Amino acid sequence: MSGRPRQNGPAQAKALQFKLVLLGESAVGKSSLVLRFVKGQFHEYQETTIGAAFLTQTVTVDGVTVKFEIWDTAGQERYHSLAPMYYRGAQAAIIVYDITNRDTFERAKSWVKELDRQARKDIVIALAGNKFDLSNKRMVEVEEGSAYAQEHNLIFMETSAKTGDNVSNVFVEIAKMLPKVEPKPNNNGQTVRIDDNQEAQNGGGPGCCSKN
Amino acid sequence: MGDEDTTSVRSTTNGTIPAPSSCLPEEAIEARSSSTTPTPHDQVTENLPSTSRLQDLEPQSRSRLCAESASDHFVSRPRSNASDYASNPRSPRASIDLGLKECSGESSQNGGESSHNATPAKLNLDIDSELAKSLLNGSLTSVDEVELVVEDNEDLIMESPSVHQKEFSPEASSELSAEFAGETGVPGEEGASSGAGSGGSVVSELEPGAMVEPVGRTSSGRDLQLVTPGDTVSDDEGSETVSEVPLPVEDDSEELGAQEYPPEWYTKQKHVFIFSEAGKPIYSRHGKEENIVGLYGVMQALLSCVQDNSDDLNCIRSSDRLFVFRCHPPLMLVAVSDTTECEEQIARQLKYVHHQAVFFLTQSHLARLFKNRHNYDLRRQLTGLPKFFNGIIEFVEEEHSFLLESVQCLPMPQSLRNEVTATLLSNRCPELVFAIVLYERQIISVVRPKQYAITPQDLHLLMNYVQTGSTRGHGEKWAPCCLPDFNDGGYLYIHDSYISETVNVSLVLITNEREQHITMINCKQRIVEQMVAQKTMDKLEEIISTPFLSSDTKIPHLRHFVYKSKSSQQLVSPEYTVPYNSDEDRRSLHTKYCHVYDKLHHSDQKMSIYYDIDSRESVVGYLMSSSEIYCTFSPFVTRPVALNNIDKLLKWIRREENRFFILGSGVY
Ligand SMILES: Nc1nc2c(ncn2[C@@H]2O[C@H](COP(=O)(O)OP(=O)(O)O)[C@@H](O)[C@H]2O)c(=O)[nH]1
Ligand SMILES: [Mg+2]
Repeated sequence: MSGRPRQNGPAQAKALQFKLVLLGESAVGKSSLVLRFVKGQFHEYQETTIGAAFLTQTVTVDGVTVKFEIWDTAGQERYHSLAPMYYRGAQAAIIVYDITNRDTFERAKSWVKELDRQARKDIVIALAGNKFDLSNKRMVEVEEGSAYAQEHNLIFMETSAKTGDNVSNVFVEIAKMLPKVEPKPNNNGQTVRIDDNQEAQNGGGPGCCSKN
Repeated sequence: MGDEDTTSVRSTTNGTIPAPSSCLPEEAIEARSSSTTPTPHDQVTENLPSTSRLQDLEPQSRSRLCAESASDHFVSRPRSNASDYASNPRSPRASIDLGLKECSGESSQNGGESSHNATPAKLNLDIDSELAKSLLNGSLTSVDEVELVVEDNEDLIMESPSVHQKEFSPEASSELSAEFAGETGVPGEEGASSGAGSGGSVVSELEPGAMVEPVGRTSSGRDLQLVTPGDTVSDDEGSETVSEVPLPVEDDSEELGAQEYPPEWYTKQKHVFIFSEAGKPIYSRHGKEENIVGLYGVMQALLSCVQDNSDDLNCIRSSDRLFVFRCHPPLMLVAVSDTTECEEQIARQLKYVHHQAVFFLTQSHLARLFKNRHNYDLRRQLTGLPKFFNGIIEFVEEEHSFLLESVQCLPMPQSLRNEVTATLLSNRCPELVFAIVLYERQIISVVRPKQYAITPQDLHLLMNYVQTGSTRGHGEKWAPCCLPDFNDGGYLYIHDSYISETVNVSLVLITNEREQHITMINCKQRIVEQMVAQKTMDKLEEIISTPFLSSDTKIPHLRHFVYKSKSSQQLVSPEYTVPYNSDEDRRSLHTKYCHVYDKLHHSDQKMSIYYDIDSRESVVGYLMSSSEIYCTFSPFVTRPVALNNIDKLLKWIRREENRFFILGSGVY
């Protein structure tokens, strides 16, 4: 994958920095998505997040290095009142639900509404239907997620933190949408296809209907 | 009250309750050591004669092992008066020093008892094995007689000549039973239905003996009394036996219940339960709460029927288990233990468990949740938190620092500690309140404002939070947490992260401003950069790879020790080495320290030295004015040699104290 994140290291001076927040009900797989994206790992028994966790990861998109400062929040209701401090200044958000659990989809919708009201107007939002590997237990159809995303102008993907499907794609798609303050002069054409295997995934793999 | 009642209690219990060896009064121990009763390990007390031999030790030891100037302690006991928090007065409970010594008085005449101001009332419940079964659902088969130790209030002492009579309110019990019955109705809740049975049987099992004594007051005639064996039925019209209370009792409850718990469940050394005042399960250390709903009901019933008498149930002792009850409203906590820990220690452990809940929710939020919602299911708030309760229970069972109400510092050259502290101080930002560097359960450095201290208890909670919530590989954590001793009504915001790739050294930054997460991240970044530049981390890793061992002291026969400096509330203790290789060996040595500690601190008789000698080792505890020490020697060391070695050790520690203790830096 060309969108593959590089290892965490001393931040490059040139990198653009973006604040990204993950929101969604408890246990939908927010921490797992982040862990997959940042470390390439997956834990069957992912520890429940207490409060929030902060991680960073960089990706290169269109020749531009983007550093994500990621706030992985806890989904429990006792931390709900803290959520605004993470999304308030955020340029991007991933709202996650679990495709095997309808309630989490409803919760995701309410997060979308909350962000519409309270977050920056130019925030880039992705809706991620996670646990794609469990699609035999699916309770939310792809079309439903994708239609909702279309309607609200969100990036949409179904992901699996377990298999890694589409995980970095979500971040890369977000990175593409973010304003490049210092746009790189065309290195090699403008719209470089980020993901070689995106086709493959669109075909047989996870339902990926990235808006855009 | 006092004598008469105690006597009557004795008369009913003598010979039937084998008092656990760990809580025999001094007299009994002396008696044993001079001849008789077999005990798990032979114990020898030395009272004044031998202590006076030690007098020569006192002066040196008192000299200055730990005496820094009072202003230097980073852990003096603070009462948070942080102006930005509403201070939240907590109701004082004076229950801790009641109970154990008193109830151990059963096996011998204890003349000193009447001198206690608040001698607990005693009441005996002739609760036959059915109750015990309900309590542990068949596990504690040998419980034939149970003694309840109740913390009494003065009114009761004065008012009631026979305080051992307590009343069960049938209304309350039947309400309870009805509640169980209600829960039985919930489809699919097998545990609940078994609970209904057990719940019902608590009260009804009182009935066979149903011999009721008159109550010396005019409360509702329907009051139901606990029954003292041997008492006779009175004619008092007001009294009713339990049999008249309609109770839904399910006959098959026991079989049902028996299936609920896996066999391991019964053999656990210590159970800990939390439930609400309405009896709703909140936490169980072993097994899923929802499977033992009935048990919660029984415990709640026991607590509430004593509370109905404006009294508190503290402890029930059966032949092989100690049941310790503590109310920290809105939470009720119960420990069921077959360890040798005494009631005071277990009660302190329960207090930690309560503090663990406060740590995440604050006392005021807890109270708010239950206000007007008596039946609130707190588990909704506790997603992801049970492991922290498990963690704090392990902590209190294993740590000398819990036992001695102190903290342990990682031994290192003073220059290195100063380097860490200076790094913290120089990168401090105005929003930062505390900065702490931890190595697992030991402290490397603490930086704090002059006006606020942080107690050992709060530090223990922090250590548990950092260690149990370890997200190595998952970035830096940021969460609102409450330090109950600092202020149990408000949140602080805690940033913590590992700062070494190879060892578990973590940096904890604490602020009182909730939006300062970015500031804390930047602060951490600066601290880490400076540490890297100074190679501080390398030096720390080096220190950690060569732990402090008792052999470093070069004192012969010394296997292990724990030394506490009282004024600074810090302790020093070497790593366990041979022969304490297994967890079990370590646990058993720790248990001995607990026992010796208990002897020195909770005996009626003032002692400053206590020996606990058996074929495995000799443990000696020694109290001094500003410090205390517990030493483990090989078993054949004679007492004079042991004392002489303790003397040497105290001098050695004094010489090395800069390595072991944080002596007054880190205050800004
Ligand atoms: N099968 C499957 N399980 C997942 C996936 N993502 C997360 N999980 C599991 O779901 C549980 C909750 O995940 P976690 O990342 O803690 O969720 P969070 O509370 O949203 O952070 C964990 O047991 C994960 O192992 C996924 O894509 N597929
Ligand atoms: Mg999480």
